[in-house]
Amino acid sequence: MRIIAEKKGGIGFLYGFVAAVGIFMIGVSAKEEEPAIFIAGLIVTLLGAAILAGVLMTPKRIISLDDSGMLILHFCNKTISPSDITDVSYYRASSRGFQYEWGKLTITTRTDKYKCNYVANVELVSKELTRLMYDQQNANQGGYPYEAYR
Amino acid sequence: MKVLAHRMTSPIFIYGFLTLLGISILLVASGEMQAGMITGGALITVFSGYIFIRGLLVPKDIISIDENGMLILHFCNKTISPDELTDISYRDYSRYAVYPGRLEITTEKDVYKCSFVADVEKVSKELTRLMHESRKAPSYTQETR
Repeated sequence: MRIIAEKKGGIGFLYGFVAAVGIFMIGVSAKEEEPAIFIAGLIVTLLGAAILAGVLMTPKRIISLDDSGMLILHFCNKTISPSDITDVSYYRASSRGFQYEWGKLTITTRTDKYKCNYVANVELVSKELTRLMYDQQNANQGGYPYEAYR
Repeated sequence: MKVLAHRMTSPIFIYGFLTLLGISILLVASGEMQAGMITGGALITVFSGYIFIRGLLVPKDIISIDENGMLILHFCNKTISPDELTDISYRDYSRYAVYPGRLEITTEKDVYKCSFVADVEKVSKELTRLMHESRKAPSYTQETR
């Protein structure tokens, strides 16, 4: 079995810290009796906790390829063949115009669409899945003639 | 001949407008002799003007495919075969209209980069499809199993 995609490490710590800051703000607001700090703390806590929950629910191994060439999508407990894939898209997480290596992966098959966030090296993963998809299609069809896309 | 990639226009308009804004600030500030505004106006003019001119230098049709299946890269005046392609990458900033989409085409010999590509993800997928379809032998599948 070969691992194709893994979860980006460190995001859980980051958003855990954000949620902790929010809880600290709520604590300060209770002591100082400041409703504005309480509301800000509540928003920060809820946002941090929601993202943290999403990160924790994502498995460490997101996608792997088994010995029979089937793709195991651990994040949704599905097994698909690379030839079922019709499209692979990705979006790199960004902040103020700077793009990170991790991001969101979308795998489209003939019947379903699978989305997973916090994928490490999402561009490379997308390229690998695209390569597997085309290799499988080429293997099934014996290659594409040039005339097919002219 | 089929055009695969067009130039995006919205960032060019935005940076053209910002350049004009920078020039206006410069004109107003130089009349009133305000050093801070002159510096700000000059920075906006130089930064926006640079991106604006770079955008204008990109041809309207960036990549097309001719009747023989050859890819014509108009932005660098090169013609390559799809089977020469080894990698296609893109940077899609479409969520932020002010950042131009960038395409990177890697062949066995060279790397060609072009910014201001409209629908850069779609273009990248089309080029990736052409690249993989031009490779008839399924060489990778056996290795991965």
